[in-house]
Amino acid sequence: MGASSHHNANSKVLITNTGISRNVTNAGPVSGVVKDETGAALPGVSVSIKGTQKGTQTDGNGKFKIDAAPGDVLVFSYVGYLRKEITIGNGTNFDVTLDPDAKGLNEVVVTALGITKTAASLSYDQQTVGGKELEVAKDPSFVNSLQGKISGLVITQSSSGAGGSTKVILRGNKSIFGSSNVLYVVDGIPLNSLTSGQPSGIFSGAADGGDGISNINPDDIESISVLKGASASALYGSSAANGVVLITTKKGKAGKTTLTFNSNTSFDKATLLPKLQTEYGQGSGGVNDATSFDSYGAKETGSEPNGQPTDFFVTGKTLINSFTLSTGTEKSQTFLSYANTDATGIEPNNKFVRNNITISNTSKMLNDKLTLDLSASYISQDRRDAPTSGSYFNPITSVDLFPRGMDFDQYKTYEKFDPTRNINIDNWFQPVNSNADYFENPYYIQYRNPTDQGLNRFLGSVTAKYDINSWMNIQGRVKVDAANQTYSQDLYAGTNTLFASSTGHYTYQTSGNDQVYSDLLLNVNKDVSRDFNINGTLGASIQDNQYSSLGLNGNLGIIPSYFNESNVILTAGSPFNQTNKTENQSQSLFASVDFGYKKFLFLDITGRNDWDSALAFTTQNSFFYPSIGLSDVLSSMFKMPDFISFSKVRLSYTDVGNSIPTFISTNPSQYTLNGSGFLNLNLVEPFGDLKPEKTHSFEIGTEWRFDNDHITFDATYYHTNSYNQLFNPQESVAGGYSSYYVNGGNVQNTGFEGSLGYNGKIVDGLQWSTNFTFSLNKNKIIALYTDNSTGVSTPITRFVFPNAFDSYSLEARVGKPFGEIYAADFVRDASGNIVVTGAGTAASPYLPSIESDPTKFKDVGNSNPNFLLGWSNTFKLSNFDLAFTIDGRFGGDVVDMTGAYLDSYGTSEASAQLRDAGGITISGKQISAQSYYQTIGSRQGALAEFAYSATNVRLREASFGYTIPGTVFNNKISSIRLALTGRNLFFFYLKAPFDPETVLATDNTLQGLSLFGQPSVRTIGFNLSAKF
Amino acid sequence: MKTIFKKSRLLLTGALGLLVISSCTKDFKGLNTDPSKVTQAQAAGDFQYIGGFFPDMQENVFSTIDYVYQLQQNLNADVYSGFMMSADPFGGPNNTNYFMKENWNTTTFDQGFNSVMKDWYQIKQKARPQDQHFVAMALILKVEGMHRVADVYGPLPYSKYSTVAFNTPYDSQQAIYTQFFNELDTAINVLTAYVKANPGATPFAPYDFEYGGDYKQWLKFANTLRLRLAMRIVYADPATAKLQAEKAVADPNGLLSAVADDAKLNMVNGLSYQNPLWNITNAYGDISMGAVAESILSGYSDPREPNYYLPSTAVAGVEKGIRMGADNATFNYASYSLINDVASTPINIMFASESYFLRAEGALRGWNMGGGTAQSFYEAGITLSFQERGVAMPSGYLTNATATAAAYVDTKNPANNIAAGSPYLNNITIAWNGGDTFEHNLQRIITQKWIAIFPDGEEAWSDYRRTGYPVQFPVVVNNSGGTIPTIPGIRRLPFPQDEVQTNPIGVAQGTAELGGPDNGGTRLWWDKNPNH
Repeated sequence: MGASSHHNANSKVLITNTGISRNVTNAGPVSGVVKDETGAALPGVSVSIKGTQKGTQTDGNGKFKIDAAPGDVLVFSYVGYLRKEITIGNGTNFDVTLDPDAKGLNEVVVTALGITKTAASLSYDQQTVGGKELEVAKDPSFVNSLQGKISGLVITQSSSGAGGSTKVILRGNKSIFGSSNVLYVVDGIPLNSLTSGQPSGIFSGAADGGDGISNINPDDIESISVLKGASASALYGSSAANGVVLITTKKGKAGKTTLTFNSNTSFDKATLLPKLQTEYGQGSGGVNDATSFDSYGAKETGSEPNGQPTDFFVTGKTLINSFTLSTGTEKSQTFLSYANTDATGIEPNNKFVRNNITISNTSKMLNDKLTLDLSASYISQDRRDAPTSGSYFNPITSVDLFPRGMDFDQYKTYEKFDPTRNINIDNWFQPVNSNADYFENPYYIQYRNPTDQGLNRFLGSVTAKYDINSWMNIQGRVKVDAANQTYSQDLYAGTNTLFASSTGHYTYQTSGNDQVYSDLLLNVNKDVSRDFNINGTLGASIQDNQYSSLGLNGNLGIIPSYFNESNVILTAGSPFNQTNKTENQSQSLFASVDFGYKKFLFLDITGRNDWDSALAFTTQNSFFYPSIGLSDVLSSMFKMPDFISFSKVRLSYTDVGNSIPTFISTNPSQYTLNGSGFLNLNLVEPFGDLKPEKTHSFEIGTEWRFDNDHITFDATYYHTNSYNQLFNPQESVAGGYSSYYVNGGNVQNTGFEGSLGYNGKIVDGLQWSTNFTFSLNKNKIIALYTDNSTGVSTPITRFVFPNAFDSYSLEARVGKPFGEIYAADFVRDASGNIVVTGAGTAASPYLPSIESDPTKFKDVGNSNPNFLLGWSNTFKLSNFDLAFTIDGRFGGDVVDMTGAYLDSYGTSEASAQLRDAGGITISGKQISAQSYYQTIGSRQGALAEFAYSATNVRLREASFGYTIPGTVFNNKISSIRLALTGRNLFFFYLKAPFDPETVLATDNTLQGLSLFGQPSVRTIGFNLSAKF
Repeated sequence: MKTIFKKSRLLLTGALGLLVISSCTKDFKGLNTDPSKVTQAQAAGDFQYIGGFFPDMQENVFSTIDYVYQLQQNLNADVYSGFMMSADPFGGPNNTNYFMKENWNTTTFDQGFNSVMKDWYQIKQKARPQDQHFVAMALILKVEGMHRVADVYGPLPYSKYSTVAFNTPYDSQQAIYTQFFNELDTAINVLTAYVKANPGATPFAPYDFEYGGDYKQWLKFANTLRLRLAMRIVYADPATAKLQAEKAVADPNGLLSAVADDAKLNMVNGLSYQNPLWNITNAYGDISMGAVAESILSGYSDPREPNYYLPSTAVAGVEKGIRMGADNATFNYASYSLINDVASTPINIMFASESYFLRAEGALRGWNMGGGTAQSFYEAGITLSFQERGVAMPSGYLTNATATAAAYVDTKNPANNIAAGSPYLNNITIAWNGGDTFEHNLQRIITQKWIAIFPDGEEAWSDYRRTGYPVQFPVVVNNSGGTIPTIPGIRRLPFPQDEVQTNPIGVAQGTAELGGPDNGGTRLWWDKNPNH
């Protein structure tokens, strides 16, 4: 039966004095040293006297001292090691060796709904990362720190700096209409995703607004488990079909009061900036022109001016200071944390400030039968001038396209006085009201078109658990998550009148996003006989989400740059917009039962039924979805060779349903007021005939541990199909509506993922912990929907994701993977030569012909990688530690629209090289560099020429630390660790001219595209952590 | 015992859960009703679910929104009529040079179906028996709005609108016109009866932007509309044309006949907008004077010219127009004349003077147009037009028998000049000449009508296609790839691409009814003038 938690006979406890006396003498000091199986001292081991509240911890050298009397039982416990009990005799000095916990068998993991199970019984893949691993190189949004550490996790960051959202996909994209993002669950309760508006196209100008998970304080996290498949998450319902990231927060610990302090300082530097040419000046056709936007002027004679547009980028600084306090007795434990994040970005005036406060308490009462858990967090966040993308309000556009040869320094003073108006206006080489809608002084954009995103969020939860008897308990939970967000943009007088009146423009929006979750669970865990165990849960839950917003958006009246509602022109357009309370409620009943046989064979069955308010007015008010799984611990079933410490195979099948968005089925349809305030009918046909979206998923996996668990290996194969997706095709307006909803589709993901790890000593004193993760996902659209609107059932084979524009189109096509990028290419004749138009004269130059029909665009590849590798390492030698993660994404493609713009405006190095070469010959016709690039560049050009492989391998993060032991401080301080850290340090391999892992939008649109997003940053910093 | 105990606990929790669920799902319909939208129950107050759709209907016949108006008619019909041309090349070939851009051919259609038809359908569905006068009003507005759509495309999914979910069949344009006349019959009968039974009642007043709820004015409008539609089909179905025209004139409710009768989209009852042409001209700089307008108005030394257009800066103080399809990418016409409008100018829907020109044409054709001759109606029309524009008619205008359209000079690109004596100049004098040929007098009537109805390019383009007047300059650059003849010019807009994709069967049937390929060169049913 493997390892057991009681060691008596074989105990390695050395009792220096033998003889047992029951005669109680006065308690006296006993002391000793606790070591691990290799003989190394174990600091931080909890030492307590059984049945009392007395306890202590071992110091940095593994030593402990406690007052105890003979007959008392000392209990030693430490995470990752088996608990050990020693009864005190006459001795006063003990050397204790703790045995590592044979993880595979007895490790307890937190699964869906916070239910704890033994890892052995899991029939699906679940991978856990400790909170410590997130601290290697801190990121204000901790999700980004999971890169490369968990197999199959595809993390894509928005290019909007600190506070931006992150797209996290497990096992491929599944939903075309909805989201494929994972669900975050904190202490068993789903976290409000707070999905924000995403950039939506060429002009955009709106920054990504962050997401719910980015607000969380990483110091509050004890561990993170990733439930990769739908099977693991069936119990969370609809939103969990894409996998779940389970976050377990830190709790107070009984025993010694522990205070930790952590200070992290890091510096960001822009990398992968576009390569600019230094040969040709501002102008066109080889002629200089001081008012031109182009850099196709004459060859420069002098040297480049001192002021370069890239000087715009400054060094970003991030300061994260946090402390945690943990204290408690056996009956009541309290945890308190505070963190302050203060970051400035690489764009001037970009600032991010966050304060997180968390307090939690766990108490036992009623003879320890009732456990009450209270937790409250408050988050306040402010984000100024978050980096945006697209051409409006984006300083990068002006920086990248700034005419070459001009001195950038002269525009660092971004305003100049206009005596006719007695105000300052944009200091720029083009008049404010020119038609070039892209350009403003980049500093002016930052300081005089500032945006501000504010967030106040409160999370509070109460959990009461009552042990009815030794094998049954009932638990109720309520969690409130109330977020209030504000957004404002002040456009000062003097801003381009495309965006504002001559006195300015003001946008202000406030929104409330509240979620209340409650559930009631009955848990049973009973050994029915010697061989049979039943572990089951029956539960009901209600989740209620409310959203409301009120905003104001209009040109200013008579007072320039006075940003207040009273100064907004209320008569033009419709300056106010309001969403009344939008409410959605889902109610669920669910059950999960594990049958265990002899602790090696486990059958896991779950079922859930959801009632969702979004389904009102449809034919089906609720939907049911089951799962079934089987796990067999081979190493317990058969006698295995000694070097195999654990072995298991598992298999599971799951259905997950997904509801529809609110209000799309509402019938009779509702009216709106049009722009003039008059009644208008909704043009979308109510959707009454619903089939909920369904994902069928199957997985089979195996886990092995060798050499006393020093080597771990796991591998999983999965196959999922997502059906009945929602589509919103157009219909003929002659039918009375302009679009309708229809179910359809089959998106298939198959893949393989796994990890190989080693944790142990390589040479004396040098501890190495390494984990290699790999994953492969193959996605295929088997079917889209069938369109019946034309009277003939027409299977649709092409779906264009929203926000495709000009020469770029992101699509789902039958037979191709999800998120295929199509881009305009040259028009070619029958023999494959590029068609060239024009007469070859000055008035009508030769120009290559560009495809303008999106259905004929070239398939330039997919926005998703096929294959991921991650390799994380930690070395420990005495008081030094070194950690690094290398990860690689293989496959996938990106389109560099930024580069297309640079070429078109002539600022790029490539454009100079082609000029040096005297232009290009296509199909026998000579074309000048300017004609060529202004035809193929920009957003309407031959973007297929700007497609690159997204494959990249990089040193994701690294840290080097030194721990000063407590003894140096006379044990007044437990320990202090100093570390040098870095993130995104360098690329081993990169083909694209920008970081292919940063995206414009974290929804399903604008993937694999660069469009003046903030450049990628390299982060270097240092970290100080102290434990008292 | 133990097992039973456990089961009962399980059942208890289950029952509790079910209780929770059954008691709460009742509210789901309430939760799934969007509180930021108006429910049908809320709209029942003040009968807004009937009357509330009239404002949207009226403000979309001619859109009050500049960028909608721009594609609804400005970059199409307003150019093809000779009234206007854009100095903006719009990044390449487009409708102004006969490259029929897919997304420029949609708005006219969508304005008709997404607003006018949809609003009419709501009013018709919700009207109570005592609300039939509202249904009659909706019918008049529907005919007014939809003839503008039918005259652009030809066949439309008109009679079966909203009766089938998908695949709505198209009607031939002849069938649509027949339905227009029937609908006007119904509307006029209902309103006439209503006015008789409820003298002085103005239930439509809160929703009326044009006539303050005065149904008697709307009856005049309906009669004039019937006269306009009757004249439109004169070459396709002369018998019906005569019948309907005489019926319009004979109706005791009368026709629009005075300045006070002019139909304008007034800024009343909560309607507030900036004149879309003013915005297109001033904010976008996207539309300028057309060359034909310069040629005719300056040829006549017509004082309405500075009333319609601003002086150019190209030739200081003089109105200059651009030729349709001119190469405005190579040549910069930004200094040519812009449209003389102010933001507060209401959109003109129909001028009363039009009714006189219609009667003049009817009289010329020998129809009974009431007491008057072709000449008297013609001269009354011109006189009223000057009054409508607040411009004094120069003495001797009506008797000017020498002035004709002037030669055209393009100061940017002389290749575009139209020299004196060119067949493309609209060579007709103003003064009525009873001894002149039918065609000459028709040209005279239509030319003056064309001046009077400015800036309604859609009606003017329809007249040009029907009669060939006023004579237009050929498009300079024809990018249609041979589908649209340069002379006599474009006949229609192709069906919107959205419709081709979402209703292919309907469009195929519509194209069959059209009797030719679905492009800009195929003539509409009423476009059958043997002389053009």
